[in-house]
Amino acid sequence: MSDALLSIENLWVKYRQGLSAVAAVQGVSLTLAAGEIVGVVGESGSGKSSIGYAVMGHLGGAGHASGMLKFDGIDLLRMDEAGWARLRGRRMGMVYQEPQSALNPAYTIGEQIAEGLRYHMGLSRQAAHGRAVEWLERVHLPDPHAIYRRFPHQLSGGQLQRAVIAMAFATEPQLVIMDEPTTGLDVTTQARILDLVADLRDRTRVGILYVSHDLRVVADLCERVIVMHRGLVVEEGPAVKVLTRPTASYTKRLVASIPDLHRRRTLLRDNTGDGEGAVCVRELPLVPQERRAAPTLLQTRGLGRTYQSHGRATVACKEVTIDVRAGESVALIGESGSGKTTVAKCVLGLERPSRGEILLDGAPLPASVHDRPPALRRRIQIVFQNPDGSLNGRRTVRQTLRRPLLIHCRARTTEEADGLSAELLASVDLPQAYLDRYPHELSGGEKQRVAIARALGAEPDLIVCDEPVSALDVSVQATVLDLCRRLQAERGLAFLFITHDLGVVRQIAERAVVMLEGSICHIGSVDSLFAADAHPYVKNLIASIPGRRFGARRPPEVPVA
Amino acid sequence: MDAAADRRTRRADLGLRLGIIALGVVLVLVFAAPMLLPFDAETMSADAILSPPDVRHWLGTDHLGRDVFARTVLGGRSTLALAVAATALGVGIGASVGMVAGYKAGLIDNLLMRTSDAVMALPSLVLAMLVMVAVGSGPAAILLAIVLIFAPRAARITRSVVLNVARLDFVAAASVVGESQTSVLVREILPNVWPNILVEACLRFSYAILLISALGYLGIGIQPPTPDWGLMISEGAAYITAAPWMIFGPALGIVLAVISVNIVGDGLQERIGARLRRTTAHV
Amino acid sequence: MRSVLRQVAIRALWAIATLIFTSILVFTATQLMPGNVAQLILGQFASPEAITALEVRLGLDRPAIVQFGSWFGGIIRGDFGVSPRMEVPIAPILIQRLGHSLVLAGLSLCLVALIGITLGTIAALRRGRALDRVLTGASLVGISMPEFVTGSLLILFFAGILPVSGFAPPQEGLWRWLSHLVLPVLSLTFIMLAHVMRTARVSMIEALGSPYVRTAVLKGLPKRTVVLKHALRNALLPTVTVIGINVGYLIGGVVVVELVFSYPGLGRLTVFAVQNRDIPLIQACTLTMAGIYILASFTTDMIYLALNPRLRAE
Repeated sequence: MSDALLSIENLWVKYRQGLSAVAAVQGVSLTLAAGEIVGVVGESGSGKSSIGYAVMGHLGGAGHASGMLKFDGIDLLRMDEAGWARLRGRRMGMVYQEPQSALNPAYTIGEQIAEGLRYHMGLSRQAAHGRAVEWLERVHLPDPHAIYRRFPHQLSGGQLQRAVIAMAFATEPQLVIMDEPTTGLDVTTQARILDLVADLRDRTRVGILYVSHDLRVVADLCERVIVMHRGLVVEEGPAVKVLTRPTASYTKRLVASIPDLHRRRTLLRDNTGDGEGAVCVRELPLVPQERRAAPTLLQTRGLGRTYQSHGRATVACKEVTIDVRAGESVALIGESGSGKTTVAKCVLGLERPSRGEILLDGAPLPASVHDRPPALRRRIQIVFQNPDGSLNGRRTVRQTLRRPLLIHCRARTTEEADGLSAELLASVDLPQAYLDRYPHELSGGEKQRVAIARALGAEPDLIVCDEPVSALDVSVQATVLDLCRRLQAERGLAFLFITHDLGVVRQIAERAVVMLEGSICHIGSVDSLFAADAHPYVKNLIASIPGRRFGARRPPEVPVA
Repeated sequence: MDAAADRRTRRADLGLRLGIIALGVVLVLVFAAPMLLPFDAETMSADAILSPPDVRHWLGTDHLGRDVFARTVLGGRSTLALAVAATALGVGIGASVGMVAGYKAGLIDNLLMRTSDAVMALPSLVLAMLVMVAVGSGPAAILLAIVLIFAPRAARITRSVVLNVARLDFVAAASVVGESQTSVLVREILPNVWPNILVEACLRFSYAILLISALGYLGIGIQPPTPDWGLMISEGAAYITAAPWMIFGPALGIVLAVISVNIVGDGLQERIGARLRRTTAHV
Repeated sequence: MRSVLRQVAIRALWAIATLIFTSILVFTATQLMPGNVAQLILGQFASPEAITALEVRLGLDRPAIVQFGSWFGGIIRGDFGVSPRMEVPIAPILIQRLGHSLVLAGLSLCLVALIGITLGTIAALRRGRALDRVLTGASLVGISMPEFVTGSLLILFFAGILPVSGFAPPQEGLWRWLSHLVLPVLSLTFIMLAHVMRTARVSMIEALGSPYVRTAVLKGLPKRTVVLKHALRNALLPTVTVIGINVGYLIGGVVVVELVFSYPGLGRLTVFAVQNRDIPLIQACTLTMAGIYILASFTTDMIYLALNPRLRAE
């Protein structure tokens, strides 16, 4: 294509590592026309972000790009510093993952936008100020004059990302690279940012290279998609086609792993590895067995938590009343700041409720975990969101798994404990050899499995899972969800599953509790979430879920009674 | 990740090793050499007053005809022994207080930290002088002074690291699994805190050497005729143009000891920070 | 804005509370001093009557709390009492000597901040290269050389070229005044410079590797703007803290350096007081030095507050 704004041919990106080099990108080709959005999708380690940084000419000291990289006919690989100075920030802009750290904490939002305008477009201080305010308005930030004077820490993640987008677009570039711009944002925020990006593209005719791990997001936004796996392009084509009729086995697996809102599926057991192999998907009945008869295990009664700081009170949650029956899986749904994690911490005794009480088998639980006798503590366990923080980096898997076994007298000697630890590892599909590994020798999914094994070691009745899969790649996510489901079936475990992802809810839960700004706004079966009379917030939440383009074809199936 | 970082880590490890070797040499010299010395540090000889370095007196003699090398080595012995003891005690006490304060939070934490803030409001040397005034000079007073100077800072540093570690999920998970508070502190938090304590101890050890020497130099630390590096330099000051070698020995002692400790400290710090600081500059 | 005032007020109150606590500490320490003060003053052969008489005259027969009250009350009025050794009121001498010391310390601090931050920044920009290694190595030697060693060596090398002891008032000519300051300031600067440079280097390296500096680079800003405006501004925060902490060290250094160069400042006065067990003078000197440090810490907090918008905002 000769009229391509950006054309990449046989791009290789290598990073020096000691004496050898690692090829993060291996012969990728793509073209992007003005006004087009092309998506680059892949899981972590696929090399997707390296493409964006190669285009910006910023691979760090150890990175090296080769092949052909042309922007508007200019050979980017033969560019000198002076040449880059005319391109970066002027004709090519960038939007980053984690806007919190991408902006300088020492300067106001407006100053950081105006700076580029003054430098690149030669605007006066006053004109740059005016133009920056204009752009803040164009990205739909409320009260742009006030936002101009704010510092980054005073804005929410979504607002910051809008500001970064304004910064990238303000100098009227021809090309904008977006590197996972909505990762870490709430779904409703994400939906609004995506609308903004699409709108900006329509109005400015900017070419956008959109890098993401989320196939659904890319499908909604982009015309064309390339799917990357370990540095290689495994599939490319029109977005809707790649998502609905994938041809490469990796893409098939990736698509199958996306937690579906309207179907419950399991990936068969032989897929617990690293994502290779054939896709074996089995559909599960939409509504799992009812547990009306089961006795109530955990109850929270009018739970409330208020934080006091600098004389101001912040309500984290109020009047939260939830039941979890034995062997039941309940999803606690909410976006950041909804108070869902506070509820979980109160249940675990890690946070002291200001009001209300927590009952286990009808008997009140002491507020602090350290006031609960070991026999009580054993019954409720936890799996955290961030796999990196959930294991002690200075202790081996063996040392970690041994503790619950010894504390709760399941093993009298360390040898006995080691035997049981190996069994625990087996039950989360990890080999015995992992006993002597340190957490940094494990992948994210493996760490979460060890965390689950540690919880199982106490033989709990209930496991509280605080967003256990949201930090994992989607294919790994599916296998961890499978594991949870299996443990629930085999051991009669109850789960309190905290999540923001309704697709995950569908995969794992029987009942759902939705929280909004600290209070419960919806409670009922998972199907009730999709009912016509659901709470408006729930409806908004569902509407925000990406993947509308391909999801819309399939109406919600009528629940089988 | 990248080659430059690898090279830096290797260089830091090399530095650490070199530092340990240098420190070893200093320690061996100071603790073993006195047995082999031909001269006693206290023996004065009237026929060798202010004699320049030669084969007999490697670092010359002082105004009383005493062998500077022998006195340097012996002075190092008392200084280093005192510095080790004071650092271990001061950092040990401080770190323990900091661990408890950081983990327990609340009133205890506030009380402990406010007290340490107040003590830290006194410049180190002023605090040391006050201790000397209050309990008289001598090794015990010096020990007390250094402990008072080191403990609050060690407590602060340990506390801040503990606060950072204590909010990590694995600490909460340990409590949920059934660990007692003591067990959480010892099994989960301590292993993640002690590298920082070690680095602090290293840096403080070198400062202890400097402090002891400074007190000696001011004449309010170790009292004559006991050899002491600071004291020797202050005695040598009067003869600086006539017999500069009088200060070379002790000056070399101080610099060598402090430099080797600092290299070890730097190496340790680089090592524990290696994972965090593997950044490549964007400029 | 209200939040800023609030923070300034809290820190000011805290500084005052610390000063009061410190004065109690100073007073207690001097009370613990072994030996009878009157005897110390009058000498071994004084008659018991003379000792009692002196004790009454100095107010030493009163309970400790009353003594503290009258002492502290005096200080608030600017009256530090009379030195029994020198037999003159303390306040005028104290102020004169303090002035001399502040010149010494102030000059050193400015030099240290200026050169330290500059060298640290240069080393960070040249990270891993020859210049960085030379500077880092030199700083390692720097932090290992106490002032009295540096000072003694400077005397050895510069004796005859520059004055190595004493003090000349500025009225006697600017050059004469400065020439007496050169060597003491150099000795003080060396060790602290190393500390500040190391901190500046590390924080600068951290800032240069941060995502916001990447943003600035990819915004196409010139290198000068990226380094000076975006990286340095944030790297200054930890550096300012370290400079503040170093004031405490500087006060100790001033004491030592004044002795090395026989400079008539507060430090030498303090050592004189301690060696002669002149209690009112010890109290006055140590409390003044503590007060200066508390003031310096307060100033550091204020600079930090001004540089860090995260603390300033609501």
